[in-house]
Amino acid sequence: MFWKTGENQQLIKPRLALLIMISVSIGFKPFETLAGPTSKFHKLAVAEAYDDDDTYESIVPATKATKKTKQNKYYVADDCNTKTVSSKGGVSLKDLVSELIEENKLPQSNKAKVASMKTTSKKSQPAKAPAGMSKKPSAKLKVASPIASYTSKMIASKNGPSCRLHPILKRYKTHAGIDLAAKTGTPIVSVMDGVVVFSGTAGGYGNLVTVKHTLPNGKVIYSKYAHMTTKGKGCALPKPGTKVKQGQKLGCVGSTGRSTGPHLHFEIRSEAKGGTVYDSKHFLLSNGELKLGKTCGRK
Amino acid sequence: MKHVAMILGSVIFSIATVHAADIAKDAQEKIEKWQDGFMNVCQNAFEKEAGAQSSKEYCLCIVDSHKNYILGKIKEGEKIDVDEHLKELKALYQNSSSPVATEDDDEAGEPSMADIDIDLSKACLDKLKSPKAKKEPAKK
Repeated sequence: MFWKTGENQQLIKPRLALLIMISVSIGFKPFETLAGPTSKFHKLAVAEAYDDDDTYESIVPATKATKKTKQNKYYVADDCNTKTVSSKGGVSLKDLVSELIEENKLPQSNKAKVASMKTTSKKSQPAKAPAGMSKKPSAKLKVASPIASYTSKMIASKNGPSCRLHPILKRYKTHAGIDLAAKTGTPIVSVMDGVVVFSGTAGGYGNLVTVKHTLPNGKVIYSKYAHMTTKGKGCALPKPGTKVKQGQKLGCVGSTGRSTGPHLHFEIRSEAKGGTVYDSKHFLLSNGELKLGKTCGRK
Repeated sequence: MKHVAMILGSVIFSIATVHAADIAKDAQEKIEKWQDGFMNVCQNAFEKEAGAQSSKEYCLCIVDSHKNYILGKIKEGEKIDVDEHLKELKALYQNSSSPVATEDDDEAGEPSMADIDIDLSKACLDKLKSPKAKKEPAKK
């Protein structure tokens, strides 16, 4: 690491450590952006590890951090967001954990998980992944954000599939996906490995890409990316039959079809056309868990 | 060779611009013809659902919003069936069966006229409710 070398090492270490402590305590997550264009939610799990000298040691995905655990590492986790903190560094761990639980809107029961992790790490045993986060990557799906700049917290603030009411006509209308607003041209990536089964214009969807995914249990689902633009460099739609990897670019955010502004309309369905609407927001936040989406006929 | 390409490019660009302008002009004419009929239908629906107050303002606002929406799509070079859009919009207000209608077309999936109008009418109501909009008539 660059801060471990050089003449100013003694100065940089404590300053960097202090900066990170302040960032964590005010809820600022500078390292979430490190995930980059291929960010996956599991990569948002950031470990802030401090060594025995209270100096900043490394920033690594939580899964790697668990292997490197030395002592007094604590986990606050839900399905998609894990924080590792140390009792060292001059900040009250109790306060930090409470703050992280509150900040991530996690259930209070996570405090018990934190206590449990404390016990195991004190015995210098290899740290186990907390509930909701599998230690075997293949056992649980890892789902990428369809727009890299969207963190789990930002997605959590959006409305998932819902039943919308027209303000004047009092007409209920199902909204089958999640709308993620972004600038025109923002890259859209595949949430999982799959095969493109449709790409082109589809009425109100505008330019649409549908990707077929097979879950580990054999179940087939389809992710839909709507209102894409085809204008601009690298915004051409992939051809049907194209195999795509998780995080691979599918196109760009636009406002084609029935859309009043640039955004991505993202859906998860059981069929390429029609079919059951799954809760796309829950799917993203829970790393691929399927739950029926709320529709006007199914509240 | 470069000159030829440049001239050809500018000719194509100007033809496309003229063509887009023609489409926009045509759309505008269609909207103007359609407006009167829609205003009646819209005001009836508004009065039935939300009371007579500001029904005209609301319906003019909806016409404006959809006009901007259609012209915006044309400007962006997107194909939009203006006749179909106007027909669907009128039907949406015409078929508003009180007190509550449900349009559960999630089987078809694709966003309908109600989807776009929910966004536009919300923005329209917000505009009417805003203090700036309320102050304007007083100035006159």
